[in-house]
Amino acid sequence: MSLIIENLSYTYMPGTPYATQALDQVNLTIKKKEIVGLIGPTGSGKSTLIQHLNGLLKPTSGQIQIDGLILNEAKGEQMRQLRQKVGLVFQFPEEQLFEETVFDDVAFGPRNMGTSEEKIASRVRWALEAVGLNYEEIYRRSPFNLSGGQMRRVAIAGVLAMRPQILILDEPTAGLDPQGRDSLLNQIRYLWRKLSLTVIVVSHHLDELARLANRLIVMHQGKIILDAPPAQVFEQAEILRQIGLGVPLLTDLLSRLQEKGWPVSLAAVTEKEAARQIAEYWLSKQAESA
Amino acid sequence: MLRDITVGQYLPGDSIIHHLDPRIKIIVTALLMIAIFLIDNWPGLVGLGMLLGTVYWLSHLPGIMLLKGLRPLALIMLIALPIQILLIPGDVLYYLGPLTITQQGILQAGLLTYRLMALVIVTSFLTLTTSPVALTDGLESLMKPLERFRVPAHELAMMMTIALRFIPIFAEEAEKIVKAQKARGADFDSGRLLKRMRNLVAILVPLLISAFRRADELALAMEARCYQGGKNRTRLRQWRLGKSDYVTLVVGLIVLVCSFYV
Repeated sequence: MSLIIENLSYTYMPGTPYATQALDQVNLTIKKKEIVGLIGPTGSGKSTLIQHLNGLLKPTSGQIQIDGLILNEAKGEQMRQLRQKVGLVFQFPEEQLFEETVFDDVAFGPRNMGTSEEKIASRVRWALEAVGLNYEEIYRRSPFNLSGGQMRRVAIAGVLAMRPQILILDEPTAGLDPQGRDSLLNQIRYLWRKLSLTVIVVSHHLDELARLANRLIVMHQGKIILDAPPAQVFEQAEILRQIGLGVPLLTDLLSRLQEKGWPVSLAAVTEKEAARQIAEYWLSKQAESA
Repeated sequence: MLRDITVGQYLPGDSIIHHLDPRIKIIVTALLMIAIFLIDNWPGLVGLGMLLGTVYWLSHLPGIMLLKGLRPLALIMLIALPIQILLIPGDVLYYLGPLTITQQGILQAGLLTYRLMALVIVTSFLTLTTSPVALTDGLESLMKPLERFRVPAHELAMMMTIALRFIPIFAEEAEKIVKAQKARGADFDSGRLLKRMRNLVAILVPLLISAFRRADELALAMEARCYQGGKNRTRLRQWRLGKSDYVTLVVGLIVLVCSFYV
């Protein structure tokens, strides 16, 4: 399930005074089973880009190819298959819940796909458990009587139940408390590994994407400006600051130490790594002065 | 698609029409609407047309905005015109089986078209050149005398302001929900009617819930700022009638009086 984007441009409201170019000649290839973080300041084109991946927006120019299928031309049945393959979880997905029970809401997607009721029953159970919910406890309840975190998980289960091969999440942790955020991120990484999905997560928190993804794509003003593993992206702290993203606290600390002449590397993504680097230098300095 | 809603749209501008007192604009709009229904002879119709043309010229509005407002009329005309043409008795011009086309029918149909178009244009002048806030201000001030009869003028105006303010927000939200449900395979463009209606629930329920949530939040925010309703509130902008306002009012009255006698 590889995804190839070539020269993709998109303009909102073309031909009017309000026309704005949201994507500008984007080229991107995402391989099967990758876990990718997409990051950029507000208005950088992240959301526009991911809405192209399941045909909600049509390119103004350029081409998108998913598993050999050219998306620009997809219609009717093809489009439905595409939306089954590419699961898109919107920002604040709990706002799209509408059924009377959790079960029916999660079943909405598979039912639209024409899945048989028997299969749906097992899929719903599977999807709810996959997002870390207790099926027996929850499936008969109204989705509107759940906590915010639970609602979001139910909404994600609603997309998972279609058994997508590519899972795209737009700001999945927005508005969650730190605990809820960590546990959701762990769940996503677990799903990625267990189901061998291709996962794309959009966020503007570098911290969380650094821990989650193996590859980071940084967007700015409709263009991809960086595309590399987290460690290498963090080394470009200056660029990140310039486009107004801000860098993780850890990278900030390390880059300040660097300015003072410490031989530390910004590539340290985890606290442990950074601590080791600092300790090493500290100890060697101690040894010198002794 | 949902962003294209033009009802009640306001186009900021600096023309003499834009600067008129909203109360005067509302009153004169009402007067003209009455006149439109009274006028039924050629000199009157031509005069009215010339008046609308003058207002259009004074307002510096792009003609396309007025035409956009006329678009929804097309459907109504499609139904109303054949009925008018075919069913009004009079001097027969053509026979179409059991139906007849009469001279009177055609004239009536033309008059109906003219009146409806004139109505839409007159109200468009009002909404296009008056900001929603000024419009509700004007309404509130016109309804003020009714407070003696316990009509909650201020509250009604406030509700209208809020409703207008939330139209674009809901349009945006609806668009987002449509997309989210499409991503879950919902199909709003094809399929059997029953299935399509069912799919509509997937949009309406979330939209309704969010409307209630927003209402709750707004009420709370207003209360937190000690909003008390209309009593003893003063305004940042006080409307004062100027020369052009009086002239407009007089013109409106003359048109109405003439439409009785012409």
